[in-house]
Amino acid sequence: MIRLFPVLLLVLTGCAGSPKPVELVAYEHRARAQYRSTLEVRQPELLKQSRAAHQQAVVAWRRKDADAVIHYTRLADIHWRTAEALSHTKDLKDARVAWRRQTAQHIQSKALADERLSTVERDIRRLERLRTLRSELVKVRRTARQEKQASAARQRIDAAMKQMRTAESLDAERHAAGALNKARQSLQNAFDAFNAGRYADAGKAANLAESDAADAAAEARPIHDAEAELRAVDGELRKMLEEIATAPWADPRIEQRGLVVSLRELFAPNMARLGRTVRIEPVAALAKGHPRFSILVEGHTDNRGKSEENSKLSAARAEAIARVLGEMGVDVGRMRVQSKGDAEPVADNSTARGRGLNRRVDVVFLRPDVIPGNPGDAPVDAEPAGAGIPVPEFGTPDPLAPQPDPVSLP
Amino acid sequence: MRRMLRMAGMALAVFIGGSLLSGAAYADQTRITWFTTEARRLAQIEGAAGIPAAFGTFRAWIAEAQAYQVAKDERRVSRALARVEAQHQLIVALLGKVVAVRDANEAKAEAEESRAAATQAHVKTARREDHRRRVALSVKEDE
Repeated sequence: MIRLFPVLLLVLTGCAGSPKPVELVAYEHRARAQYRSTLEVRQPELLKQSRAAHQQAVVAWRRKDADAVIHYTRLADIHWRTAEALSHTKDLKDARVAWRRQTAQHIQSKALADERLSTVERDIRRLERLRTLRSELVKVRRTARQEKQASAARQRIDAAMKQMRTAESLDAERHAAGALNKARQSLQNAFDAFNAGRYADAGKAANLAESDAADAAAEARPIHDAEAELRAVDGELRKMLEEIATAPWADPRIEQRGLVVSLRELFAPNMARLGRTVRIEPVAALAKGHPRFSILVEGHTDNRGKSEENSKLSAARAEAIARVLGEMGVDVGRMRVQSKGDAEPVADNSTARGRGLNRRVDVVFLRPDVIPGNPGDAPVDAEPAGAGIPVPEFGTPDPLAPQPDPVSLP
Repeated sequence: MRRMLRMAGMALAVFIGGSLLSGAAYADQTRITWFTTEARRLAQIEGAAGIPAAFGTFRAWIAEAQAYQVAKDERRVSRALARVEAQHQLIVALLGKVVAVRDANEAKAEAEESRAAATQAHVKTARREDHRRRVALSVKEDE
């Protein structure tokens, strides 16, 4: 069997024809491609020509006409490739139409988007304008509120400054330094807060400053008023001194307790009868012209006689003067009489001149701060208090009354 | 007389045959010339540079036909011209395909560009719509 194999191979080789050319095989391979059905529909004429050429190539191959095989194979291949190119061209044209259609759709879609965008942009502009207007409105309201707060704070500061000036005018610097300094600090805080734009704080601090300044003023006012009153009293006392200075016999002088007018040489020794009332008239006029002063009428004697009698005598003398003053129009409610006896001499009792000076009645216009009178003082009565002591009536000088010693005023 | 007639007939046959043959040869040459001119014309058309092999084959076969024409090998001239004609048809189809490819590519690029533009417009619109919603919300909150 193995010996017969070469013989068999030789027989088969001899029976076989010449192989197909490569180009013909390639064409046949191409012609079996899947695209063939499409080409048959689109390019039937070219495919027919191609197949005819292929048939002729096969015939030529069978005839072993190599030249014709190549020719017809190439011809068939060209026709097939032409059909393929035309089919591809159609595909490309279809694709181009599809792309164009897509382009139109995209353009339409973009136009819709642009239209919607323009609407949206318009809405956004409107909304942003609205927001801007609202923001401006808020700013305006805030500014107005701040201005209102600033105005209120300014008013509070002005009020505090006014109160501060009031306190300073009341000399609170001396009388209420603590409260005034506290008010100044609060006012400074108010200024600082105002300059920093913290108007609410400024208002609170100004209120505090005003309150402190009011406290300082309230604390300083009584002292200030008292001082002013004292100054007014001093001024009035000086004026009274000038007024009474026209009566040099009155020996007017300002003492701690007030203006003292000494009426001398009105009484004889051991007598309470008034000799001359003309000297009392300026004193009465002074008392009526300055009704704010309480009047203390002090009676004095020389040192002759017993002390008790002198005391009674001095009281009688004082009451006599007071009664005359009352009769001259001085409010008796203002007057109190006081008996000093011989306890407060102003001159030497060893001489007649001295004793004459000591027999006197001092009319004291008391300062308001001086407590008028002592527990031993007696209000002025309508009737004379000195029992047994003759008190002359006005206008009827006692011809029996001894004339006082002539004394000269200093 | 018969001999003269036979000779005249033969002369006529030779003349007619020669005329026919020379007429066919003339027609083939005309076709070769036309294809040569056509090859030059087609080479000037846009896209011809993209198919150099096809043009090379075209010109080679025209030259081959011309060579067979000179050699007076009518059968091969005819076959070569048949291939030249088919190749001409193929070149025309290929040039049309080149143009179609260019147009399709342009249309595709145009479509992609328009698609990108449309997409961008839609994205921008969506973004602005979102912004509008936020602005409207803030306005509502301000109220």
